[in-house]
Amino acid sequence: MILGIDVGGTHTDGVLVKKEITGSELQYNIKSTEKVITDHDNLEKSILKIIDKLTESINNKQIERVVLSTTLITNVIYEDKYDPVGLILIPGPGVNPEYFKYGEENYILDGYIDHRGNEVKSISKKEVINTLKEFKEKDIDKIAIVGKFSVRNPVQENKIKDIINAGNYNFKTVTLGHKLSGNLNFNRRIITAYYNTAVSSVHQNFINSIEKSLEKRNIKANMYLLKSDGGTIAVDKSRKIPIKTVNSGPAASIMGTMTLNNSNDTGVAIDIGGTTTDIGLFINGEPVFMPKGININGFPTLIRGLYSVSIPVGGDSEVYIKNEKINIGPQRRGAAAALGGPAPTPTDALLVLEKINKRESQSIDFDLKKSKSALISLKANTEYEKLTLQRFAEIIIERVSNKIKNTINNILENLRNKPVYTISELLDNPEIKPKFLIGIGGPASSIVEIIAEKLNYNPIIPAHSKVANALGVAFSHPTLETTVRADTARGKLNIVEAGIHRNIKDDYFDINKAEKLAKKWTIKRFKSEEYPIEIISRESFNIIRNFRTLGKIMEIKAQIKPGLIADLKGGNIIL
Amino acid sequence: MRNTKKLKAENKVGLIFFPAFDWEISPTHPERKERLLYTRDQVFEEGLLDIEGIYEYNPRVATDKEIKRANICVPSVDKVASKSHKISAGAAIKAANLVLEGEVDKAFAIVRPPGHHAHRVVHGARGFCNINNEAIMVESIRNKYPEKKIAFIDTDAHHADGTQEIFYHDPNVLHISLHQDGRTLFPGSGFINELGGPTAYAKTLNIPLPPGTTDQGLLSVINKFVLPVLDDFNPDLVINSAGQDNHYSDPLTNMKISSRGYARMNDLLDPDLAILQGGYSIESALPYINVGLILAMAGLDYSFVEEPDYNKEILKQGTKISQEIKETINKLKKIWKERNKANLKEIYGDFSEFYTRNKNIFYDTSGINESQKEKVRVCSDCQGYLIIDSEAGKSRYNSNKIKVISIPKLVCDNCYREAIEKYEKLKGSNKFDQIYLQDLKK
Repeated sequence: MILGIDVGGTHTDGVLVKKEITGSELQYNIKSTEKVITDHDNLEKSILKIIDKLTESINNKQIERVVLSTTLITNVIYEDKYDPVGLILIPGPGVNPEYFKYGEENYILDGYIDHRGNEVKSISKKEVINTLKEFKEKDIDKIAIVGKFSVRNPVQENKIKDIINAGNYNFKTVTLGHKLSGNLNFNRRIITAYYNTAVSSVHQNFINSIEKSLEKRNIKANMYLLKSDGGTIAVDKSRKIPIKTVNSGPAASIMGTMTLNNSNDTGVAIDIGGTTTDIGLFINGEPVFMPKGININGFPTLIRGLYSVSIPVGGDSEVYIKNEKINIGPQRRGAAAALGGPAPTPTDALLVLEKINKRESQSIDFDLKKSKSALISLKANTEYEKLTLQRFAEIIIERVSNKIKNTINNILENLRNKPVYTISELLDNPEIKPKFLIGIGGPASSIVEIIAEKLNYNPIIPAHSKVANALGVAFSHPTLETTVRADTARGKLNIVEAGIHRNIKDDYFDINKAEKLAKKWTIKRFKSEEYPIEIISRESFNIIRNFRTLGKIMEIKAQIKPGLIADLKGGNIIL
Repeated sequence: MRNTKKLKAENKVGLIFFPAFDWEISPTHPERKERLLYTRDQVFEEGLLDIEGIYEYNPRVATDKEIKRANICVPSVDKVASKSHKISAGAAIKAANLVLEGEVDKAFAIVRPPGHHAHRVVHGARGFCNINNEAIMVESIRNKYPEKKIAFIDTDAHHADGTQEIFYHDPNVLHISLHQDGRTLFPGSGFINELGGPTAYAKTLNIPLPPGTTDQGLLSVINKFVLPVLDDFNPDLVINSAGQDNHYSDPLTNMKISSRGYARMNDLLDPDLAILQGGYSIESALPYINVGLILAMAGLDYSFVEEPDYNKEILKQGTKISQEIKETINKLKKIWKERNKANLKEIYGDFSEFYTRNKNIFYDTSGINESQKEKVRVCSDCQGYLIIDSEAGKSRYNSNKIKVISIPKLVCDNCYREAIEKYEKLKGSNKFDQIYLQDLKK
């Protein structure tokens, strides 16, 4: 059995899925779903509560897989609930390093790696030791060490780590920049390393404690966490780079729609919540990534994440009139008027239009009269006064739909204009043409139809969409990326994600061998179940100096892309 | 997280970075796939594209119509320009549009191949250039805004002969080229006596610099001559043809400019548009120069930009060089100061109706020799039209003989009628392989 749990901002959702063999088919039967209010100050409590509810009537030994998506790290960052972080930076020349001082304490070391990975200027051991001592004097015991171009040559970051290991410093957390991603971007590397250090001990404590609680309950399952790229990561591995599990909420939602609508088409997924709507995208059935990495708390990082845009419009957004114009959100003043809230909301407009399906409106105690009177008093003494209530509600929903529609169009436009660097990519840039619009979340069903009609997509409103996120969490499989970079003129090979930085011994090393290495190391690091490995980028350049070929620079990126642990097509999931 | 000083551009900069990683003249040619590879790495690693106020755009492909406004491609656009050339020109047009439409304050096109050695008539490739991306850009700008006054400052180490010649008779374009002395480098032109035609006297200015010129000499030219001239001309748009081969590590030239010198120069010139031209020290110079230029255009601190092998000693300028530069500046200053009272008859001879020049143009890349006769109609009401006779080929036996009537956008009615009549008369002639009409008024 599988437990999938999604800790959201307001609710924590969970599903229990049972694997069943019917004839020759492996089927997944959803045994139970649960929802509790998230206790912000004690996420663990919410998680255990939902686990206990879900497992009430089963033998816990049957659980073989537990997957969590939590807001823990995200909260820690957004609420600034972490200890000070010390940064050791080795920027070399370039942008003024003053701009990189994100740490509570920052030391800039004199050292320099160039773009090829040559060590132009080494760092001084004495300077490092002084820096480390100063951190200790200032009570900083969580640090990150980040060098410019350290992914091309981590020697200086590693040297500092060695000095730390050889001394008696007792730093609680040390993050090395080059371990975080195979991609270039010093600024993002610093921010990512900073946050990784900042959240590390909270993360460790959390998973230790969850593990203990599961043990107490006799749950001996493999435990995974969802990452922001829609893949899972084994809990133990997450200890190294916990920051990868930040902001997994949107990923849960996108993976959830993938679970409910296992399609190979291009389409848009929207998740309409109380105050926000998240919009994601599938191209030929595959979720799209943020181009360079996700933003955390407004800062750009190197963390891979699924493309997701959040706009401040939701079922509970306040509807108000200002300067004769109807506005939706961004603030929420409370629940819908129908539930006793202080202001009319899109949900009230939908109720007036009888667009909320019966099952839902019966399960929640909506008071239509309250919706009506809230909307009537809103339009009173405005230019909308003469409109019928019906028409007025239609205009509100029109506004909401247009906001979402415009955002979808912007996303498509941005993706179409994403920078390319080769002539073939520039000339052969197919338009992204979504076919479907899938919506999950409370008020989704009726609004999805309206937006889909405007965009001429097929609307899809899956059943059980309320637990979509938890389902996405339950069914996501691990993801992995491997970057092989070889500079044969320098005779150097880097496979950042595998921690490999060595000399090339093979005189005949070429792009095909690089590709084989990328695949080999993806499999090697993956260990468990097998999913297809995909080569996502491939470049190779001759290094020519004075009309002589000195070697090649090549880079191959391989990945295991986000996907589901099982083929859920053709009714293999029983909802 | 500490509330750190946030990197935010003072000027909104549009960046068209298009390294064309899948195009090259040949695998070992300076214009090869690798040319902007290290620049990409440096720009990406510095995180410049994340800076608020720096926006990245894709180029587009320039249309034949846009290209033909500046270049007469013989026999046709497609025979002369490949997709890569059209994209480079399209990038320049896009950069200009971004600025003119107010989407950004400044734009920088880091694109290849360059264009400034391409003359109006193009029979093949010269100095790695096929079509003149900047001239195409300017004609595209003036097609929409005919009255715009435009100043070029070409800072490539090679004389920008193509661009100079295209605007040689155009009083609304000031073309200033700073370059390594033509006696020591391709294309061998760009001397201070090349000052434009009689209808655009001193709208072409050349500042040949002795080999070995450093930041000091370059910046003194900018401060003492270029900036005051720009002040007087008062252009609507300043374009920097940002060649990067004056660098001390460039393999094809003998200049000694540093990346910080480039950034400082850009800062002083304060151009609306910068378009990359040459620059072939792809690993040791371009990454640093481009980072410096992007920061300078964005109004950000570039004082930390430096090459790995930077050394103050390299940048010491010999006194002889300083003296030579000083003399050049003094001569040019005098010309500029006296430009309005210059005796044009003395300079150009008799040009009452037409002023004629004979040119020989060598296409080093294609191995073509062209001989050209260019006549400009001298008119008191407009800048006149051009009649060009051109014959070119790899040898005398397979040469192409063509004739061009070129009419500028701001032509007077008389000249326009006259030019069209001339073209109509020529049309039937079998003395030429092809007769072209370049009609920008249409």
